[in-house]
Amino acid sequence: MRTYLALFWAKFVTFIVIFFGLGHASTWPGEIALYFDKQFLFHIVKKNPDLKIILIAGTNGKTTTAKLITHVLSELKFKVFSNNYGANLLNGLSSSFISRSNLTGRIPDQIAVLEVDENTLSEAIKQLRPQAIVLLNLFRDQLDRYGEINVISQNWREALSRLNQPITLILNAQDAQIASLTSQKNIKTYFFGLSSQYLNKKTTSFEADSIYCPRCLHKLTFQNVAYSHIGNFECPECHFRTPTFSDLADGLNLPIDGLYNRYNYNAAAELLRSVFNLNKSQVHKHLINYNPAFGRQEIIHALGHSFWLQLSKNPVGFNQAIELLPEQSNVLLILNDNLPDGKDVSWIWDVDYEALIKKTKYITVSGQRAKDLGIRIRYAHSSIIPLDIDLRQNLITIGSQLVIIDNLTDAIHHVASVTKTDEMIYVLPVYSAMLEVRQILTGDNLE
Amino acid sequence: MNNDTTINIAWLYPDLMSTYGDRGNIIILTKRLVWRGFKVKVTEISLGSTNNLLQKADLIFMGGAQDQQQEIVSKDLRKRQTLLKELIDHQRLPCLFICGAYQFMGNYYLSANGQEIPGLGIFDLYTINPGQKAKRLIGNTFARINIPGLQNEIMAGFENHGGRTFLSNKETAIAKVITGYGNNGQDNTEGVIHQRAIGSYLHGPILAKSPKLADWLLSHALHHSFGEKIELSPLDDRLEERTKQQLLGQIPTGQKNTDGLD
Repeated sequence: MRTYLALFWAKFVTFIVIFFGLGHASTWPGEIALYFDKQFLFHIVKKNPDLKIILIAGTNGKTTTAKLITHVLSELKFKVFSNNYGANLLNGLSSSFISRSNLTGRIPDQIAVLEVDENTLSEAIKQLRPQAIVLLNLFRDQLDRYGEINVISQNWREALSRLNQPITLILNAQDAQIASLTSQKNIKTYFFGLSSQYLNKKTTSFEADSIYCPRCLHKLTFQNVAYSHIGNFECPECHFRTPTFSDLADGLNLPIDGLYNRYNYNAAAELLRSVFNLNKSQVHKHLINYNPAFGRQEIIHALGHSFWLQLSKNPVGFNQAIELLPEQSNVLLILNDNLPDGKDVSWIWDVDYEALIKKTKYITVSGQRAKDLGIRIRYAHSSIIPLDIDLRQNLITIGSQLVIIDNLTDAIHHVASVTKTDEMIYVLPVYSAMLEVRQILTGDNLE
Repeated sequence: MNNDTTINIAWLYPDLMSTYGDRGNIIILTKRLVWRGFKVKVTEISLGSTNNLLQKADLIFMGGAQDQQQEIVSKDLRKRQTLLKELIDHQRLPCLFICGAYQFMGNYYLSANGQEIPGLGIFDLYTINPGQKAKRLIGNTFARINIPGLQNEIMAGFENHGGRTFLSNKETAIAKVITGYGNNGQDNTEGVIHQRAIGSYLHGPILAKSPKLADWLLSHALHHSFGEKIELSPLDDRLEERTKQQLLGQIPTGQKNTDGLD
């Protein structure tokens, strides 16, 4: 009964939110359902015993991997749903079930592909009893909110060991912390990774985290590295090493750029192979016309310009985004410290702005913590760059390459005014800023 | 003392104790010297490095880390205890120890399960972790510096720690908390200043918005390197000042920070 009550009120709120144009109702309905029924997810899944559930977790790449899987399954005419707009806490997961179910809790779909927040995964596993789990990577991210990555992986390990139904586990073979989440009974485990032709670095980079053996704490040696601590590792002490993996993207041109997307693609492909029996070329064929998820290499045309958006919310993600920028690009960086972004902006000091300033013609910095970012980028230079503070315009200029404009609308108009119409504007925002940029450029309101 | 014109900065355990952007402190210290025409050498000291490297230092820095990393560092650090004590207490070397490193320099750390982990005993202080149920001290922190010559300066950063640190009456806090928690969330103290060694909970990194504190460390490093007092030419730090003012305006003075999630 509690579940029906929860559903009724949640559905009612969804109706109100959408009817009055208040947003996409991606978290509120779930919040209300959970108020009436803490075990809402468990109860609604029990009413839909034939629904297959796939969970995707990891610091970076959740949204893209989920969208890749959903895209292929939809092309294969499966009825699939997922948590849109990246709402991946319990309230977001619940909202996605509410939006698909009728008032008796029945869901017409066959498969749910859900991305799950790192700290929510254990509870999601317990309540949703998934058929498959894809674990992508663990990087330092919002330490004030998530805590330490060793603690996260320990929680995941415990959640996996409590499982009593058979499941399929898809793991990144080249992230030591993820690759070590094995050896549980009832679990069929498959590994994905990139073949050595894509691993062009010899050593891990300064922002790397998992460079010590997750089993015996000795320092790992790396044969080659893709980025951060992602690479072929071995522990000289206990000999824990990169397990044998498949690279289902090997040699293929992918619809999305960047090494990190090669991993996302591979994670999706491995899931589709092991659970849905699709081979390498079938997966590729279905993904040729894939369109990126919102805010991930998304291009928006507005104000007579083209804006390229790449969510950049932690050091590893940001450093990967920098690698994608063409030479002499014109960039807009946005740093906020809202709750979804983390209150702690220390992470910007683990970003390679030294590389960014060499690749960019002009940098505009905006957001609530724009000045913090200005300080950081000024220190990326080998000589001191003069400051000019214009109090009337609320504009701080640092040399000829960098300008700080706190207000985002002003910053966007400034970038547009200094960019030729045929030139792309590259936007690297944190999460809340990505939503703001999209709203300013497209009018789309995501709550 | 030596006549070498290169300033040697020793960075302890960069591969293990450098989470939360603490590496920014090294960037800031280095650039503030390079911008003024000095030569700088940063030496990374990690597991198994010889103590000779540490002996050449004009300034020492060590950042914070996750628990597992601290466990790895703990054994190696003990081999450097005597030398570090000599450098800090007798040579009065400028040092900066952040968060986990700060705790390491104290007498002991009482863990959540009641285990007493001995520190290096260089700072006369101890740290207690009240356990998983007590809330972590997380949030933006502003504190007024208490070092001669820097009295009106405000240092700013971000703290995120479970342990509560208490100084003995022989030690002086480096700053008085304006907003945030500081050492323990109880006595309004933040960090420690012991000879010329600083311990602090502030990430951010601490020196990003506290450039005067960076210059204080650097002037002592120059003194150590050249054997005489050397004036540092002023740098334009108006951006740091404006950033701090803006953030302080957002957070009412004297109010505990409740922004952090536990």
